[in-house]
Amino acid sequence: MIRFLAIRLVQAVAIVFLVVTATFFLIRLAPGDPYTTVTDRHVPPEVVDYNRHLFGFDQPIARQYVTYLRRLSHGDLGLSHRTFRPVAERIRGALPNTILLGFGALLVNFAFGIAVGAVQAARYDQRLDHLLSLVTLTLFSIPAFWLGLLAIDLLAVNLGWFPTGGTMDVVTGDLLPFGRQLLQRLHHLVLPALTLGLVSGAWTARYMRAEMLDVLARDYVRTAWAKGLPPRRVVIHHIARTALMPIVTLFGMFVPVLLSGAVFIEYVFAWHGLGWEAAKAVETYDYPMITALTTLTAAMVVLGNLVADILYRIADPRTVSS
Amino acid sequence: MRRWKWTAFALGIGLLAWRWSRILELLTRGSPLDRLAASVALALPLFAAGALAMPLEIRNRWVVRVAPRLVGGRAMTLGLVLSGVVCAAAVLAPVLITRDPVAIDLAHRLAPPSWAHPLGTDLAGRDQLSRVLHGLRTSLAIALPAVFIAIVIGTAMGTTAAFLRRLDGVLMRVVDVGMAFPRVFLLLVLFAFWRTISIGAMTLILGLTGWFHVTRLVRAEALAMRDTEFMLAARALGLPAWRKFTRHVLPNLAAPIIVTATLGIGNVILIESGLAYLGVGVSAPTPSLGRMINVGQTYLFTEPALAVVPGVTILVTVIAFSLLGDGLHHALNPRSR
Repeated sequence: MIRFLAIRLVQAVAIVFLVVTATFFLIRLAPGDPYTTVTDRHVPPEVVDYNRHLFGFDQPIARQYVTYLRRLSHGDLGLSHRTFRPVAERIRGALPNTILLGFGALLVNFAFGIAVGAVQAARYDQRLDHLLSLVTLTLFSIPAFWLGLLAIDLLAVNLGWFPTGGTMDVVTGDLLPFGRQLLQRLHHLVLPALTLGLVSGAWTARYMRAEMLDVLARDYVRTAWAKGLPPRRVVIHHIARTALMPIVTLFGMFVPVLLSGAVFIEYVFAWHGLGWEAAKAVETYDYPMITALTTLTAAMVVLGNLVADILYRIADPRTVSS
Repeated sequence: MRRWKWTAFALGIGLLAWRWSRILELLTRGSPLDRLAASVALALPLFAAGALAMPLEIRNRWVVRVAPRLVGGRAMTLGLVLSGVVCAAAVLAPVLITRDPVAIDLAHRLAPPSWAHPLGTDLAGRDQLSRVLHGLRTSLAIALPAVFIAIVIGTAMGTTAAFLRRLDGVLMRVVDVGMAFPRVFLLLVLFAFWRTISIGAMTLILGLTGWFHVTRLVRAEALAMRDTEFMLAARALGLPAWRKFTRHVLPNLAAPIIVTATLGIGNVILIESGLAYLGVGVSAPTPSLGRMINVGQTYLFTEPALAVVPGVTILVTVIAFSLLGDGLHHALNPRSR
C-alpha cells in the first residue's frame, strides 16, 4: 500500500508539473501578449514597455519559464494583470466557493443519480424505467448553462424563490451575523448546485442502473429472494449496497466534470469561484491567473483520481495485484 | 425499411418541387458549400429511388442483415430519424432558407413570428430561423470532423499501446496528463488567446484534445482481444501485422468506437456552444448557437425566444446523437441492458 501510494504520488506530481509546463508554453505560443492586444490605444508606449518589463515579458521565454518555476516553488503565483493583486489572494477568495459549489452539486448528483438509477433498475423495462431514461437522457444532452438560464428565468425571476445570482446579497451580505450569512450563502447556492448536480447526476443514474442490473442477476440475490426476505430489504441491503461500491469511486471521475461544468455554471450565476475567475481572466489575457488556475484544476483532478484509487482499493481489496 | 425509403423519396421530390429555382440558383452562383447543399438536395430523391429500385440480392446482402437490428428499438428509430433530420437541416440550410443569416434589417427588429420570418427576427432584424439553422450547421461542421480526428488518433494510440507493449507505459502517461488537463479550461485558454480563430483551427484543436478517453477505451478493448482465439489463430497463420490489424482487430473494435463517436458528437457540440456562450470560439458574423444564447440572455425576460430557440436546437441535436449512440450500443451489444 505504501509503495503504491509513493508511486502514485510521484506520478501525480509529475503530471501536475507537465500541465504547468504545457500551459506556460501554450499561452506564450499564442500571438501577442497582454500588452499588444488588449491595452487601450491611448496608453503611451513607455507605459506599455514598463508594464512589459514589470511582468518580465521582455525576457527570453526560457528565462521567463525558469523564473516562473522558481517563484512557483515558493508558492508565489505572481500578480494578476487584471487586478494587480497577487493571484494567490484571488484564488484564496474563489476556491472555497468552487469547493462549496462542487460539494453541493455532488450531493445533488449522488442523491438524484442513485435514487433514479435504483428505481429504474427495480422497475426494469417498465414504463417508469423508460420515462426516467428519457429524463436522464435529456439532462445528459442539455447545455448546462442554458438550463441555468431557464432556472433563473423560472425559479428566480418569475417565482422569486431564489436569488438570480452571486454568492451573497451585495448590500446586506457583509453586515449580517455569521449564521444568517451562512443561510444566505446556501440560499444562493441552491440553483447553481441544482443545475450542475442534475446535469452531472444523469451519468450517475445511468451508471447506477447498469450496476444494479448487473448485481440483480447474481446468485446471492436470488438466494435472498428465495429466503423470502421482504423486497425492500433485498433491494436496499443486498443489491444497492453492492452496486454502490463502484459508484463511490465515480467521484474521482466527477472532479473534472464538476470543474469544467463550474466554468459555465459559475458564469451564468455570477458565482465567484475558479470558473468565474477563469472566464474573467481569459477576457483580459491574465496570464498568471490562467496558468495558476489550470495548474490548480489539474492538481485537483489528479488528487481526485488518487483519492478514488485509494478508496477503490479499500472498497475492493482484489484490485491490489493489478 | 421500404416505408422509410418511400418517405425519403417523397420528401426529396417535395423539396425539389418547392425549392427548384433556389437549387438552380445555388448551383450556378453559390459558394462551394452552397453548391454542396444544392447537390445533396438533387441527390436525395435519386438516392432514395435507387434504394427503392435496388435489386433484391444486393438488398439481402447488407440492408436486410444489419438494418432491422438497427431500426429495432423505438429509441433507436427516434435517434436515427432525429439525427437524420438535424443533419439534413444543417446540410440543406441554404436550400431550405432563402434568407441571409447575416443580413441586417433594422426596420424589422425583434419581429414576432410571421410567414416571412417563421421564428421572428433578432436584435438586428436578422431572420431567427435562418440563424438557428446556420448555427446548427456551424456546430455540426465543427463537431463531426473534430470527433473524426479524435477517433482516428485515439484508435491509433490505443491499438499501439495494446499491441506494442513497449510504448504502453509512455502512451498511457501521456493520456493521464491529457485527462488531468481540464478540457474546458484548456480550450478556453487556447481559443481565447487566438482571438480570431478559424473554424478549421477550432475543429483541429477540439479533435486534438478529445482523443484521450478514446485511447483508454480502445486500449482496454484491444487488450481484451489480444488473447482471444481468433487472434491466436491469426498469429498461427502467420498473417502480416497489417492484415491482422485491418481484418481482425479493427472490425472487432468498430462497435465501441462507433458508439463513442456518436456520443462524442453531442459532447463536442455542448462544449463548443458552451465556449461560444462564454464569448470565445466562432467569431462574430458567423451564426453560432452558443453566442445566440449569450446575446439572448440579456433579453431573457422580455424576449425569451431569443435564448430559448437556440437552446432547444442544441438540446434536440444532442439528444438525437445520444439516442443514436445508445441505440447503436444496444444494437451492437445485444446482451447489454
